[in-house]
Amino acid sequence: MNERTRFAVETVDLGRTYRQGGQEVRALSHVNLRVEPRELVVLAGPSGSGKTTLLNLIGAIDRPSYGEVKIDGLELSSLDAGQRARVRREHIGFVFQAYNLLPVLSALENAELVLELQGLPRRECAERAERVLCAVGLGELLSRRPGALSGGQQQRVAVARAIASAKTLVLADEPTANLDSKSAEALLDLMLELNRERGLTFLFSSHDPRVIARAHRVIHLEDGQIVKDEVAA
Amino acid sequence: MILSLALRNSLRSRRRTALAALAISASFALLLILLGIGDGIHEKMAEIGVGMGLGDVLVQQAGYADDPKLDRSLHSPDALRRKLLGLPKVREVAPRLRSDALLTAGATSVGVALSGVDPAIEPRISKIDTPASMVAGSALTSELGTRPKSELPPIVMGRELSRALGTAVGDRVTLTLRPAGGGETKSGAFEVHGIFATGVRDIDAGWAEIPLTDAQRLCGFEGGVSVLSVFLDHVGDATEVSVDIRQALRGQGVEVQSWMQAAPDLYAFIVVDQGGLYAMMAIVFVVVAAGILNTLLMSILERTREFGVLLALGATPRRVVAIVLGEALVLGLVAGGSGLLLGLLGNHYFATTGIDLQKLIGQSFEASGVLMPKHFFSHLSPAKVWWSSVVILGLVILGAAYPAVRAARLEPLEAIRHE
Repeated sequence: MNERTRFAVETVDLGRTYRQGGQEVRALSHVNLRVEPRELVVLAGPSGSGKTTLLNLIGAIDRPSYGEVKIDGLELSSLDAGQRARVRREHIGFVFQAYNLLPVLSALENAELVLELQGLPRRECAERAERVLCAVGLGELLSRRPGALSGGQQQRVAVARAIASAKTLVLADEPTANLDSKSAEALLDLMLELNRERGLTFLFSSHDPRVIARAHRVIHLEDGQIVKDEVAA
Repeated sequence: MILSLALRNSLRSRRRTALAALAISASFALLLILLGIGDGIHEKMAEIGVGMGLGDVLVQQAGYADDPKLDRSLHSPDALRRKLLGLPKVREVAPRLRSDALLTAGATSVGVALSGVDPAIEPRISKIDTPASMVAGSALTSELGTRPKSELPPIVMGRELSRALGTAVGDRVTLTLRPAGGGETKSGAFEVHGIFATGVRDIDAGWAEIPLTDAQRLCGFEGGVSVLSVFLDHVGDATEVSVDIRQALRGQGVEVQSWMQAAPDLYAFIVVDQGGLYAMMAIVFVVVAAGILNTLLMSILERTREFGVLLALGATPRRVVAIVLGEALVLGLVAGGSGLLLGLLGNHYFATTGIDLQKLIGQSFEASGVLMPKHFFSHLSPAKVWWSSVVILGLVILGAAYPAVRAARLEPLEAIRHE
């Protein structure tokens, strides 16, 4: 594939349907989307519009009912479980709405985890994890387990975990939904900084105006379809 | 981090982990103790059986086992004996001349199994003709071979036999048998020198022993020996040594039997009893596997969401399997290790102090016609410790396999949404 045509994210006629209570629910219908490298894109829309479903499909943690998802030009639907795991490990950082930190690991170990999964040496894992945790303002709380951290702090650990492995694409599902105003602002500033300085591509799902205000592009979804794609001024 | 994760996850539900570990540990310890006691009993049974006119390995003229006639005597028994004594693990070789005979005292006659034995060798290896077995009189000794010709040759016999004949020590009895080569029966007078009680019914009721030279004279068979009974340093080597002997004596017209072949009833009893032990081992193994399976399955069900996160972060299914097996291994090593320690301590106790079976079951213990001694001592072979440890650890892994595969096959999204 030509380097010029390689998008950070590309979906082609993407759809996802579920069976719920014996009925078919169309969560996503024929979505065509392209995200350039280094873009900061927000998927906006009301609850149930398909934002999280789209993020899950792009994040390779769910499989489409039809259509294609390409990450850095790599088409995901033909990959087996192990290969999809490798894409998640090496290309995608995922920040879940509910943080999803491992409760038996400290903040440092949670951030180290993905690096260890990538097979980096133990010392390098620890150094890099510590660096990103310091960068998200948690340098003093490295040894704390998630249960001893506030919601905002846990979200920061989740972000640190997503960016520690120097991935090119970070997906974040409602990253500010559980944060107070101050924590939300701090987190968004951090992500903007990472986008600017490390060239990371960000794809958020959110209906938070503060998030939308900082995006390069806002894609509006309704009933599982893209209804508007606007570039920020 | 996988090991650390496994260790911390094992400690998350401490009570459940402790219960599973306790079940594995106690089962394994009990298994080792019972194996040790079982093997100790079986070894003692074999030792007693072997000492009752048998031997760890028997060397006889070819065909003697099927048709034990006097005529089927070993050629050059002295040369054979010397050769056998030169083989590794061989402690002693006892020459014996066997014949059926009629023992008469007054008007009473009883058929007996007569064994001509070397009084210089027999007390060291036999459990019949030994001072310990004698309830009256004394055992045959080498000095008896040099007695004055005017004296009657000595005979020792079982207690039940002496009762049936109504004889006591010092009484005169007559032995009658058909000599080698057939022909007219021959008789000889003997003086009751000792009466033994071995606890083996057949021996006590129908066995008599006389010096080998007197037996050879009575049978008209100078130098004749029916069987060379080979005694080893360890009864467990019987099969291996019988193979060595068979090779060493190939082409010499002899047959070689281990005690298991020569005493199939006793051997069958031991095998059946061992089978019972192994059945119990199987039950213990099932308990261990079920304990592991249950503990890990519960643990994984509770942590479905965490496994989903791990998979979503890029952990391969293989890595997830490694994490679950790591937990099982932690549990297996801790519980198996403590079980091993407890089992070895228990065995050490029963190997030194012994176990009083008579006290335990309230009566004397008889197996396959053999009255067993009151005390048994545990004897656990290192090989059994080794393989039972390997089996326990293998079962731990096996018990963890299903939960591990189940965790690895989770769909990340479904798992993350799991409540």
